[in-house]
Amino acid sequence: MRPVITFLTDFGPAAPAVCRGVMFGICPDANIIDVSHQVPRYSIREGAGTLVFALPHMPVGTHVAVVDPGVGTERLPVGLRVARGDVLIGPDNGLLIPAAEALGGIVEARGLVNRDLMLPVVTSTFHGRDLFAPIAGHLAAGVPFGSVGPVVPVAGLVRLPEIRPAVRDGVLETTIVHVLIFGNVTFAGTPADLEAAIGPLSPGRPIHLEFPGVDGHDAVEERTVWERTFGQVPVGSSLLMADSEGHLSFADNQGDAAQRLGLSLDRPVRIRPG
Amino acid sequence: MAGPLISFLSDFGGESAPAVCRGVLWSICPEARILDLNHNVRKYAVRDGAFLLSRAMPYLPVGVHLAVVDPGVGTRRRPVAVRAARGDLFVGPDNGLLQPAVRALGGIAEARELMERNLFLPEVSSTFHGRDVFAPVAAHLASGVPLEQVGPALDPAELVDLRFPEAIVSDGGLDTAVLYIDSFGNARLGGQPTDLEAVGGPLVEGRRYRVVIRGAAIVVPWHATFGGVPPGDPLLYEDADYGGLGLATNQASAAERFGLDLDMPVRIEPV
Repeated sequence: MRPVITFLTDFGPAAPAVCRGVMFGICPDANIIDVSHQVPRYSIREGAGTLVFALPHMPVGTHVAVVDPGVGTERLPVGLRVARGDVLIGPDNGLLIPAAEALGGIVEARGLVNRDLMLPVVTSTFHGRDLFAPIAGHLAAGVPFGSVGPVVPVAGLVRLPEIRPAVRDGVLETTIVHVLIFGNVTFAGTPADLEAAIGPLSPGRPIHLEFPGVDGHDAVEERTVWERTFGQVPVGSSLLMADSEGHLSFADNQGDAAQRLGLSLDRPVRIRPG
Repeated sequence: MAGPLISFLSDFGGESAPAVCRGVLWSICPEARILDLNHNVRKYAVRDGAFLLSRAMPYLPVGVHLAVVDPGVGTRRRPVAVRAARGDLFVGPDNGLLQPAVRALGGIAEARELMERNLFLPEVSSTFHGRDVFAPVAAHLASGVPLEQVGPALDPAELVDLRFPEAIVSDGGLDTAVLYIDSFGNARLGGQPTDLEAVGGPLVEGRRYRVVIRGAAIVVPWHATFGGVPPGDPLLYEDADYGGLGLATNQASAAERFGLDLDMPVRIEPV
């Protein structure tokens, strides 16, 4: 069976092809799945969220992820073997950890230091091509994980600060953690968190959202309803629901809620009964 | 022998959703050859998806065709699988998306509602049936699971239909309509070059026609390709991408210039 390599970056259109070329040069049989190359530039959190969304549905394989604002600095390039059997490759900046946990947790972490598995010249600014892609190609081709470099302690890996919603009496205070291409907005937290704050959620229950003003954006208020899926509100109307991952999600039916209200990553939100 | 072919069209865009579905397909059917037709169908535009799918089909080998433009996801619209007369299997929502493509391959031989939960992912969300329902069923069908296992048979006449306007010859002209507008702003019109020949004689380079849009008439020449007219000028031509009559402007958007919209009537008369 062809080995699977999945590939996610914030590189945009052209650079990923160079990396794919490097991977195919080393492992011509690889089946490369491009998860996304449109992660917002330098957004480790968006990249990590997309990996959590995608990797559990991928075949067991080698997963390369590069959102790497610290490229060429002292941040360590790492490989993580997870319980399901996959190996995740990328910078030690928190990008890989949530997905590694979604795949059963980290079994072994290693620093990527074996120069024989990298391109002959490693630049300071394009480790995707010079370091991560060739190592992924070698792993997919059957090189043992143990040869990439020494074991590093899992506890020492860089982790993103966890964003948790605050449950208060009658209000859930949370934050936008993801903006999807359809303009759907994901909030930190689950329906259970919201129920803890405002009581049982049933279809059609009115909900009031308040996005406080932040620099460059005025405060926005939105009257919406709790529903199960888009088509239960009229076209152009908004709804709050659980998305396909079980997170709180705010969307317009056949519209673009993020654009309509000027919402973006990290914007705080207060959710109350409507 | 090469693995089974699964073609895949959606309005999911360039983000990770198509990749997730490919992961599901390969997890179930590792030998599949996946052909991504297009994931940039205009969002929620079932008509555009239906048009693009139907135009691509004649050029594809027999296979499983997964198509998801599904604004009604999670509502009562049915998920279906359809066998076309040519032998292909289509998987997608029952909202008309699949119908023109199935017709292009000889019509419906068998239609079934997707009801067999064992062929879905273990957890089915309300908002991502591409991943949870359609992709796994498509992969199981590609792996050889018989169509009758997906769920109960449907009367083909019960499926939601979708038809494009046709070109009609009347009073010495051709009454047609805009079927699709591509990313260049070129408009694909209903009808074939032979329909235009039926009203105006042989199509020769530079021959002029009166084109009536929104009650306003313009004179447009027939040309084999865009460069036959100066930049900015309109032309009628045979669209190679989508197989039929087209109205374009050279290096500019005809849709913007003439305010074209889907289904807008267009009349073409000889000058």
